[in-house]
Amino acid sequence: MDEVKREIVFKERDWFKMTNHLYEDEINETVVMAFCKLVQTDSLFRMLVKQLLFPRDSDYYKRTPTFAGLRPEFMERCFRIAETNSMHIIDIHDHPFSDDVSFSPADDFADGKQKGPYIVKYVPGVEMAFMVHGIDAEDLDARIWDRKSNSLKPLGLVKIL
Amino acid sequence: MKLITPKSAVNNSNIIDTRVHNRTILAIGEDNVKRNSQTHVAVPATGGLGIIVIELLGQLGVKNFTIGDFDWIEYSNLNRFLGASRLDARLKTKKTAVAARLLYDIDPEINVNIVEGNFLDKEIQEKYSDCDILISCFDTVAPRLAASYFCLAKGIPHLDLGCVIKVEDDKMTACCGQVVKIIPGDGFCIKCCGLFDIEKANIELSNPEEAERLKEMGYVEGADIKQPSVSPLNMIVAAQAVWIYSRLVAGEKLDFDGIYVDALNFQTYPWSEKDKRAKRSENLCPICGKGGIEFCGDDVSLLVREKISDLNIPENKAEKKIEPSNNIKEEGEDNGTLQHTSDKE
Repeated sequence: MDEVKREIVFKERDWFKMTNHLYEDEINETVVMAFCKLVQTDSLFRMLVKQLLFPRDSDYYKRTPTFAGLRPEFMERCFRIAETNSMHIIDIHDHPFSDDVSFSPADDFADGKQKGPYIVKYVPGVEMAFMVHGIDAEDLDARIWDRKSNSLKPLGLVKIL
Repeated sequence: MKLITPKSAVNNSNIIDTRVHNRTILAIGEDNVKRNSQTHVAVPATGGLGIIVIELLGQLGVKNFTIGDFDWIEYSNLNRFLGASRLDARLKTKKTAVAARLLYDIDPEINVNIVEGNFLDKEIQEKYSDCDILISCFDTVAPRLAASYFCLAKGIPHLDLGCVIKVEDDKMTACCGQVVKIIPGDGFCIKCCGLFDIEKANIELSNPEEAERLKEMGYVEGADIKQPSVSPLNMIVAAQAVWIYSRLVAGEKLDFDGIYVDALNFQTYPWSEKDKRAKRSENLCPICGKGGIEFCGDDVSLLVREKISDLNIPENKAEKKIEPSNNIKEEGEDNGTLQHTSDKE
C-alpha cells in the first residue's frame, strides 16, 4: 500500500493571488504556474509554494472555455526557472464552468502522456504536480507525477496557512 | 489554516467513535471532529504542559500524534504530570510512555509515534516533518527557537507554550503563561517578536562543554535550578493552546499572535504584533523575513546544537532569488509573484 502523504501548502496570500488570477477571466481556462520547495521523507512529500508565475495571453497557443494550452517555449522557461533555483512546479488551471471539477481526458493526456514523461527524460531534478479548480476555488483535484512508478498519483491534501 | 481534500485523494479518514465523541460533535460539529481525526499533531516536549496538551487533543478526537521527550517520571513530577503514578516514578517510566498510555485509554486506535531524544539534534527534528501542526512546550529558549525555525522552513503552523512562576520572599509575584501562534507567511516568528533572549539560546546551542563553562561563569541565570510549577497554571495555558489549535483546524482566521495568561490576576487576553508589522517597510528578520528560511523546505540547515551566532543564515544556505529569465522578472512589491516585464509597463 502506498503510504506516502502527498500535500501542497500555500501561504494564504499566495492562495488568494493564485485564485484571483484564475478567476479574472470568467470565460476561458487560465493557467498559473507555482514554484515550490520540497519537504521529503520516506512517508512525506510536501510541496511548499514559494512563488507564482502568471502566463501572459501570448504564452498560450490556444485558450478557450474548455482548453488552455501553453506554448512549449513558455513551459521550457518554467522548467529552466525551476532547475536554476532548485524548485519544483505545480501546473494549476481552472475549469470555469465546472461545479464538480475533475481532470478532463485532455488533462490526463497532457499530464500523463506529455509533461510527466517529459520531465523524466529532460528535467531530472524537478518534480511536477497538477491541480485543477472548478467554479469554487475549494472545489479542486490534484495529483503528482510519481517518478518511482512513472504514473500520476493523487495528492492527499491542500493546505492554506 | 484551511485543509482541502482533493477529489481523487484516497479517503483515509478515521472512523470516529461516537460513543466517545458525541458531546464534542454537538459542540464543534462532526466535520471538525473528522478534521481532528485526520490531523497529525506533534508535541515534541512531553513535560507538565505537554502532557495536558496531549490529553486534551486526544479528547478532541486527534488520532495521529508524534510525541517526544528524553526524560522519565520522577517523584517531583507527580504534582503535575497527568496519568503518572508513584509506580512510574519508582520504575522511571518514560514520560512519552505515560503519554501514550493516556491516549490509548481514550482510544486504543490512536496512532502514537514516539521520538526519544533531544529536539536540538538534527535527526530528531526531522522525525517531526510529517506533522500538520507542532505544539511545543519547551522550558528552555534554544529548542523553542529551533522549533520555530523548523516549522517556518517546513511550512508547519506552530504553537509555542510557556509558563513561569516567580516567588520573592515566599510570596508569589508572577504566575503567568503564554501561547504564541506562528503561522508561516504571517511575517512573524519567535525571533523577531523579541520575546526570547537570543544570546541565551546561543549558549544553549553551543557545545556541551562550552555551555557548562558559561553556566559556571554565571552567564546562564537560573540554570539547573528547579523552577516552581503547578498544574492549574499549566492547565490554563494548555487549554488555551488546544482551543487555538481546534479553531485553526476548523479553518478560522485568528486575528492575534498569542494569548497571555496572567493567572495571578485572573486575566487572559490575546495580543498582536500586527501594528508593528504594518509599520515595517520590509521584514528583514533572517528567519521569517524576505530571503529568510520560510518555506525553504529541505534546502535549509536546521537550527541544531551548535552555536549559530545571532541566528544569521549562512550565505550559501540563504534562499537564492529566482533568477529573471528572458522577459520574466520579479515584481518589486509583490514578492510572492513572478510577473512579466510587459505587465509592469
